[in-house]
Amino acid sequence: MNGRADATPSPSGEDSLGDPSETVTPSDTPDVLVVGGGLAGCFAALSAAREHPAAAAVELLVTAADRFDRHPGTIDVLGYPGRSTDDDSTAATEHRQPVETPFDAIDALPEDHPYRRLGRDRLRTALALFDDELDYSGERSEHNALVPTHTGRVRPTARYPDWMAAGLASRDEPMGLVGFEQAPALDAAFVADRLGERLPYEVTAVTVEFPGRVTESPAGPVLARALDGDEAPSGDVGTPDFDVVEEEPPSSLTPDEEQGPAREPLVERVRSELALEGRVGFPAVLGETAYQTVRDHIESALYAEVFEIPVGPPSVPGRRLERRLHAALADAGVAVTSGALEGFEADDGRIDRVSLSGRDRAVESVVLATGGLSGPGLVADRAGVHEPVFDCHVDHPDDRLAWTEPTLLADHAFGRFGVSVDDELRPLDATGRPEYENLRAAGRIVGGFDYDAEQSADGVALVTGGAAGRWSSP
Amino acid sequence: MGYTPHVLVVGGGPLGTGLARDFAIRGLEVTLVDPGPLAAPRTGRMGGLLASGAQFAREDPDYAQRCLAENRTLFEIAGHCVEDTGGLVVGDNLDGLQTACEDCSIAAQHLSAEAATEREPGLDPAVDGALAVPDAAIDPFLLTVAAARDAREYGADIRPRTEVTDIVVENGAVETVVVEQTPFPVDADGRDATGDADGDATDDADGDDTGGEPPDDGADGADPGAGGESGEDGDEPVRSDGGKSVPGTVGGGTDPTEDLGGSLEPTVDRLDVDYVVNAAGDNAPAVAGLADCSVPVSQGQETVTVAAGRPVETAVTRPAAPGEAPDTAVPVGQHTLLATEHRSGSDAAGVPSGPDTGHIPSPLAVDNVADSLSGLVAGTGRTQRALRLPRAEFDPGRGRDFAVLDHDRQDCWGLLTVLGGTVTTHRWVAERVCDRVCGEFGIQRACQTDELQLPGGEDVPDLAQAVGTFGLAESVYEHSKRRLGSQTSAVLHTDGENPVVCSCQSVTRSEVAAALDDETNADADLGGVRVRTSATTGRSQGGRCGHQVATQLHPAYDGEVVENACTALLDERWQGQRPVAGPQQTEMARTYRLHAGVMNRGHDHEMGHTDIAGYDDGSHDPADRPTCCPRVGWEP
Ligand SMILES: Cc1cc2nc3c(=O)[nH]c(=O)nc-3n(C[C@H](O)[C@H](O)[C@H](O)COP(=O)(O)OP(=O)(O)OC[C@H]3O[C@@H](n4cnc5c(N)ncnc54)[C@H](O)[C@@H]3O)c2cc1C
Repeated sequence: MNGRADATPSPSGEDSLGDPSETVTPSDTPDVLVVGGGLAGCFAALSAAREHPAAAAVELLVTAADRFDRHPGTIDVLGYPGRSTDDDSTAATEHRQPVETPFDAIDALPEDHPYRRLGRDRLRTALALFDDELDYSGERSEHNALVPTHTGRVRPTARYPDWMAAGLASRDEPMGLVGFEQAPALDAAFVADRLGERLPYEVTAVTVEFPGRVTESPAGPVLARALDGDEAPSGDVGTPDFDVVEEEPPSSLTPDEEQGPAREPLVERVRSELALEGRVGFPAVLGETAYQTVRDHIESALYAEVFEIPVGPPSVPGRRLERRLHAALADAGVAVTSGALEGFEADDGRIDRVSLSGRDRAVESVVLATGGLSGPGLVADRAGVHEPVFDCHVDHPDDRLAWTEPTLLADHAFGRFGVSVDDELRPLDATGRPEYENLRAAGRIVGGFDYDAEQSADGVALVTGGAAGRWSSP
Repeated sequence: MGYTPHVLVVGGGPLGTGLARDFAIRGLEVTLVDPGPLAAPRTGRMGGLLASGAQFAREDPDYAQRCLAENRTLFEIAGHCVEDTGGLVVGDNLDGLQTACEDCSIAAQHLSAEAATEREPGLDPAVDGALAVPDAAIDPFLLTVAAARDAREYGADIRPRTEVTDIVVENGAVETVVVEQTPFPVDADGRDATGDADGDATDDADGDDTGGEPPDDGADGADPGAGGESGEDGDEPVRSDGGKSVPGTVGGGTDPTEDLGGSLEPTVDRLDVDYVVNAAGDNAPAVAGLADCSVPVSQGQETVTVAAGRPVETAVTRPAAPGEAPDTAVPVGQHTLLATEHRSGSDAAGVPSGPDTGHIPSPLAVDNVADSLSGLVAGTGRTQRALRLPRAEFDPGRGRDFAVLDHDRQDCWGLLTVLGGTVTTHRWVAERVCDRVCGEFGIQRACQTDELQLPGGEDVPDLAQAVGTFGLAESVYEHSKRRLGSQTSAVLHTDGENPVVCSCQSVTRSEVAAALDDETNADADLGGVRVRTSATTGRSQGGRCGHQVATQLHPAYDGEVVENACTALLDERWQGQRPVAGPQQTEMARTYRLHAGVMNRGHDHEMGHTDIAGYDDGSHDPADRPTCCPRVGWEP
């Protein structure tokens, strides 16, 4: 694999990945309009722009600013192929081993699964483009890796960022974990206990106080910013009148004279607590932009490889992924705007014009990548489930109680809600005909399968986004 | 002092805990049992209205005056459970109602439409005038827990997660009562693990549950809590230090952190009691049935929905037809409770019942609440959950009346069923019942429950002036203080960091710890933590914070207990959201995505060296390994 150096801005000290210096001005007549700025939308826009680098004017409309706040930053391709009907007792599902090689498991999926519909070559192409553009790890492996979760489980994933590389649970080697008192999202002692019971090596833990005063909750983004700027957070508390208290005020109440740096005090605290470990994991809050610098700093101070375990929402790793994607988009000449699609005009089964930011514009083709029920792509209310942008047909039971099962971790009908598509990914109306000839769907909004249960959402986003983008490109 | 009768109170709702408190203060020996954590499941399904009585002034002046008196009493004894929101009554013939209020000495001011909307911008614009009355909001969870804790202070034995399974009657009198304590969390695959489901399961499954269970004779001595903890001499009962045991895993000196994950057997106990007061709410007929007694009731159906935030700041009510419950919209803490009765003639299809739906109203019943309340409030906000409340009534249409049924008439001396009433008047009802039971034993001691303040409700100076916000963000402190009342400083004053574990509700680690330590809560019962702290009742209904709350059990409890507790907690939350699958669906999808996907809580892998060998270990790409640091410390 080559060409990565050209495609990706090279990582420098203060990570420039995802700091797109140039923003692209939207064209008056975008050839391709991608609605929705999640992984599928970004990837559709990227694929469309790369398909015809000179010719295509591609615009990405980000409809929800927080899409990546729920993304852990890994790229899951296929962890657990659909529940088989004969062994779907909870116990059987619970202990089913994750897929080792996703490509080998694809044939077992139903024919109308996006992977089967689009084929494994398209999935390979999509992953290759992702690898070229995003500089993630795992690209030379056909195998899933196992990564630890912040609740002490392991999870299969196909691509993981560099800052998770040292933390693979599938690397047969002890690890140490560091938690922060102020960030209960990752309880290091608990996670170490759980992982240690489930993995064939020792997992140890310490919990330290993050330097400074943290009153925000969830704390993740505040800690990340503190490390980015190397300045301990100062919190936001009411002012005590210590004269009135009889007892000695607890140390946490004593105002600090000045905040001081964050990085060095942090590593000092960890160093004094943690036994020597070859690899040391932190909650993934080690910087949102300067994370490479921060990790380098901690690695050299601890003499250990450092990795991070995603926590959230809000997920700092999700934001890092978003920044990398946006850098790639800028590099590819994609115009990124944010807002809502205010309206559109269609004629003869084609979407001709859209109105965006108060302006009417002609479009050649449109990709709908607004996400599923968890994103803004599908909206549910008394009347049922709708796709609010183009009002595409969404099949669902009328009885709202039938959308869910009585327990959280079950096979819910809503997990499969979305639009039905044809082989060109065009959403179909209730009669099975394409809603619009030039409208394609990508990502979670493509229904029929529970990508969370399969742990396949990112692979599906890449392959559908890639195909929809390329097919939409003139 | 002569013989001290032992009274068993069945039911840990507002009435049951109020009874236990009253009995205990009067010096009787009291045991209280409830199959759930206290204050659950049904207590939460009330409208949050601490009525001034105005709504009833025309129809039932006596009751209206009673409400007013109790309303004032609760402000005095339980200040942290009530909020002086003021009330607006809307509807027809407000002039007539105002006159009736005046006759009952209830201050009622007739406001024009403009004045009313100015007072409460959340009113529906169509409202043409309102009566401003001294209604207030009450948090039934905090109230119930406070009463239970107070009862315990006075020596009552409070046993959550304990169900009455048999009432043995001999020679026309209650002889023994068999109770069964289910440890929490029970195995997720086993018995229903959620508090709500428990209570309701008994409705349908009583025959099965209570029929063939042979009393376990050997269990008497093995009961972990009761015997040793009843604190006869009034001393603070001591709990064994150094770790927690889950009831059912009894055995003196075993390491409590060991073996807590497996199947936890219920503990059966036989209580020799002198008198039983049945305050099991709408489950009271089933409890009386254990003694072969009957309670003639009819079942009404009501639905309460919980809206996020405070679309109204005032308790807004609309009196219904005589005998029917008013429609209410009352802000309680960080939510607004919307309640309406299913009136005969309203869309009956909206209220299917049956074994499958249990306490879950149909989505159509939820729509019915929203429809009934439109015209009352402008918007009801985003509905987060909904609960169906079957209301047992002696006399249909007189829902707020309480009734006392002495089963002596059915040849069972020593069993009294109390049914109906409201939270507003619960203390007074309890007083009357205690008078009567004490009378049976020839005891004449005055009731003091209207004078003694509840834990948390004592008058305290404003702490913020003295100690700032205990290192917490101001809003976190304010929310904590509202719940904790006079206990604020005891709970929030910690040595180290005290992070927020439930962001939506601003619940800190120390508040969760205090709830777990509360002796009126069953060990490791996160349902009890929820009712005490409101953690997991916010926007995500525990999706974002449930695991953080659950890990507070660690390391006192092992990982398996934490996982089961987390699952039980989230499943209970999930059930309440199902009927509002429209508006709450995005949050539900996010919760599912987080737990099934990102956390992978649906799969549990134990892996050896060979198991993990088949997966990518990163070594194919040595370039990705950092070269910055010499790797020391670990040798393969
Ligand atoms: C829709 C609706 C709205 C209402 N709104 C208001 C309002 O706004 N203001 C107001 O003041 N009142 C209101 N009420 C009335 C109020 O809800 C009741 O008065 C109050 O809940 C009664 O308390 P309780 O303790 O009698 O019963 P519950 O709160 O029902 O408690 C009964 C307890 O008994 C337990 N139990 C069940 N079975 C057993 C068993 N076998 N063994 C042991 N224990 C058992 C249950 O777990 C439960 O904890 C409302 C009622 C309804 C139906």
